[in-house]
Amino acid sequence: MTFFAPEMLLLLWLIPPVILFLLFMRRKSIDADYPFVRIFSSKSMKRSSLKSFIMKIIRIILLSASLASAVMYSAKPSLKGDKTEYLVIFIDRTPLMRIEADRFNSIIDSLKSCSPSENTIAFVNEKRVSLPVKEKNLPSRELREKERVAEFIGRKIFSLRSKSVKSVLLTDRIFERFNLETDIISMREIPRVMITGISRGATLFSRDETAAEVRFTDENGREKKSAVMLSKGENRIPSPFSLISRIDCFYDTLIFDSPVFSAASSVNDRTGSAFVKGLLRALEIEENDTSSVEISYDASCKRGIVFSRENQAAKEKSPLFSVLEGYDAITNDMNRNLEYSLLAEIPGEAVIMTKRGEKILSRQGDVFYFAFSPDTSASNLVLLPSFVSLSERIFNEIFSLKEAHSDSRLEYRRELTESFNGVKNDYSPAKLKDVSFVFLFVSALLLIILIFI
Amino acid sequence: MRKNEIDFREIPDLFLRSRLILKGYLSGIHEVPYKGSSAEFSQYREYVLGDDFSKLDWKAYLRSGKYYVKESDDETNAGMLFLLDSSASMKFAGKFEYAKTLVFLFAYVCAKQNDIFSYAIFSDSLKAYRKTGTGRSAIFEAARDIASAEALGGTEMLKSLEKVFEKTKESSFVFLITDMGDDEEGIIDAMAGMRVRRHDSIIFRLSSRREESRELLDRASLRDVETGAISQGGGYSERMDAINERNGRIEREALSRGIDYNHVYIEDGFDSPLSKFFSRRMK
Repeated sequence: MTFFAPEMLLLLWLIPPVILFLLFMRRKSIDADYPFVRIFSSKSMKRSSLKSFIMKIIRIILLSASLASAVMYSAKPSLKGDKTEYLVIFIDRTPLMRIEADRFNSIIDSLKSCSPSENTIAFVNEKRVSLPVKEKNLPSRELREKERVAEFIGRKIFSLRSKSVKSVLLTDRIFERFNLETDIISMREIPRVMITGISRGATLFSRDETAAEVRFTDENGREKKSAVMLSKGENRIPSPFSLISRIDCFYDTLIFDSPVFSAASSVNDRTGSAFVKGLLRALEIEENDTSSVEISYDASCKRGIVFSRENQAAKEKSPLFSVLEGYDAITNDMNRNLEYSLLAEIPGEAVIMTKRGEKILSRQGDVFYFAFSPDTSASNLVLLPSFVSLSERIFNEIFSLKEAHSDSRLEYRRELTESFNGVKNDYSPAKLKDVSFVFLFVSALLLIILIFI
Repeated sequence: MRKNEIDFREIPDLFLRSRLILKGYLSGIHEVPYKGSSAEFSQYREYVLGDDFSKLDWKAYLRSGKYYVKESDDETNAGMLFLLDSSASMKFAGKFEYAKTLVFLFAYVCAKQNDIFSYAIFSDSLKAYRKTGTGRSAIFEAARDIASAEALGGTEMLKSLEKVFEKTKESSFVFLITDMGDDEEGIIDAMAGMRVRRHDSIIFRLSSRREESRELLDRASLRDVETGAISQGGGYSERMDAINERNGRIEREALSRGIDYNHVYIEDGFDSPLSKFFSRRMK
C-alpha cells in the first residue's frame, strides 16, 4: 500500500495514549451520595459490572479503530492498479495552433487509450474544460509566457496530491529547458509562409520554394507591395519604409500597435578593427562610409559606438552589473570571462559598471561608449560571446528596433521554425488506485456503531 | 412539576402548604371519600343475629314493630394511621419534606372532618407515636410533631411497624409514606399482615427522578447516605436496570398482597399523584 500523504500516519502515534486514557479514565472519581446502594450490590449487578467492563473494552476498540481508519483515510492510501489515477492534459493553445475541438477530442481519446486512467482532466490555456471538448468552451488563442505555462502545470499536478499522475502537454513551442515531469507532444501547424522578423527589413520563413506577395504599410497607412520568390527557409525582404505598422504576406499578417523601425541599416566603421568587421558581418550590417552611424574612437561622434584608446591601468577587478534590465545574461558572461588590464574613463550614464563604480559601458544620447579598445592586448572584450549580443542590443537601440525586435510574437514565430519533435519523459507515474474511501467508510461505520451501542 | 406550578415544599408552614394544596385539589373534586363518625345516614336493614344491639333504631321499631338496624358510612369505624419514614435516605432530594407535607395533608383533611387519626414517625426506632382526638388541638399537635421531625438514622422499619400495629386494634386506613430503602419484602409482609387484620394498607412510596439520573448513576462509586457503604461497578444502564427491576418487583408484590401501592415521584408535585389516588379509591 502506498500513501500519498504519509506524514499523516504520524497521527497514529496518538492512538495508544488515547487508548490508555480511555482505559484508565474513571467516569467521575468523586463519590456521590445515594439514598440506598444496597440494590446495586446484587449478583446480577456484579454480572453487569463484568458486562460493563467488556462493553468499555469494546467501545475503546471501536473508537481506536475508527480513529485509526480516519488517520489512514487522511494519509490517502492507494493500492497498485492497472490504471493511473489521473491523466492530466494541458493544451497550450497558441495563436498559430489552428486545431479545433474535434481534433482535440480525438487526440485526448488516443491519449486515454494509451494511458488508461481513472480520471482525465484537461486544461486549455489554464482553463479547465469538460470532456469531450466543445468549440464554444475553448478559450481563445493566447501566447502565454513559457514560465507561466510551466508554473501552472507544476501547480496543478501538485494540487492533485497524487503520485499516480500522468501529464501531457500539447504545444507547438519548445519547452526543453523546463524540467517538467510531463510528456510534451509537439503539434505544429505553421503557415506556409510566416513572418519571423522585421529587423532591417522583413524576414519571411517559407516551408518550401514559393512565390509570395509582401505588402508593407507605413505609419500613415501607405502601402507598398512587392512580389518575391521565396526559397525554402529564411528570406530577408528589404522594407520600402523606415517605419512600418503592418506586414502582410498572404499566408501571414503582423500588425504592430505602434510603428516600428525596419529600414536596412548601415554603419561607418572608422576603427578598422578586424573584430569590428567580423561583428558587422555576424549582425548582417552593411559598412557604408556615408552612414550617420559611426564606430570610432572619436568621442565627438553623434550616433554610434565609441571605443576608448587612452586607457589607464585598471585597478583590481570588481564584479559587473547592469543598471538597465535585460542585460543579466551579458553581465553574467562578462563576469565569468572578461579580462582587462586597461580601463578608460568614459562619459555618459553607465549601462554596465563595476561594483567599485567604474563604468564599462555608458550611453550619452545615441552614442554608446566602451571603456576598452577593440585591441585584445588590453582586454578580451571583443572575443567574448556576449560581445555580439551586446553589440546587437546596442545597434537595436541605435536603430530604434528594440521594441520590434523583442516582440514576443516574433520570438514565438522564430521558435516555430526550429525543429522540435516532442519529448516523452523518462518519468512514468506509478499506477495506483485510491482506496482512501474504504477507510472513510469504515471509520464512519465504526463511529455509528459506537454511538448506538 | 409544571413550570407555573408552585413548589409547595418551599412553603415553610405546614398549614399554609396543606391549605394551598387542598385549595387547588378539593375545588376540583368537591368530595372527600373518607367519612368518620360524622358520616351521613346510609340505609336501614333488618336486624340479624350478631348485630350490635346498640345500633337498633327504636323509633323505627315503635313505628313498624320490626327491628331495624341504622346503617351509616361510619359503620366501618374508619381511623387513620399515618406512618412516616424519617430515615436519612428520605432526606435525599427533598423526599422528607414531601412526605411530611403529604402526612400532614391527610391529617388536615381528617381534622377538618372531625375524624380521629393517629401517626407514627420512625427511622431505626419509633420516634413518635400519637393517637389524636378530633378538632383543632389534634391538628396543631400533629403539626408540631411533623414539622419538627428530622430525617436521621437508618431504616429498621419492621420493629417500629410491629410496635405501632400492636397498638392499632380498630379497623383503620394505614398509610405508610416511605422510600422503601429498607428490606422491602419485610415491609410488604408487615403491611399485608395489617390487611389481614382488616386494615386498609396504603403505601406511598416516594422517589426522586434524581435517583434515576444519568449524572448520578454514571458515577464510578456511590455512597449510601445512611450506612456510608460504597457501591462500585456498573454504569448507568446496569444501575437503571437494577432500579427498574426492583421497582417492578415491589409493585407486583404489593399489589398481589392487596396493598394499595402508590409510587410517587416528588417532582410530579401533589396534584397528579393525589388525583390518581383519590379517583381510584372513589371507584
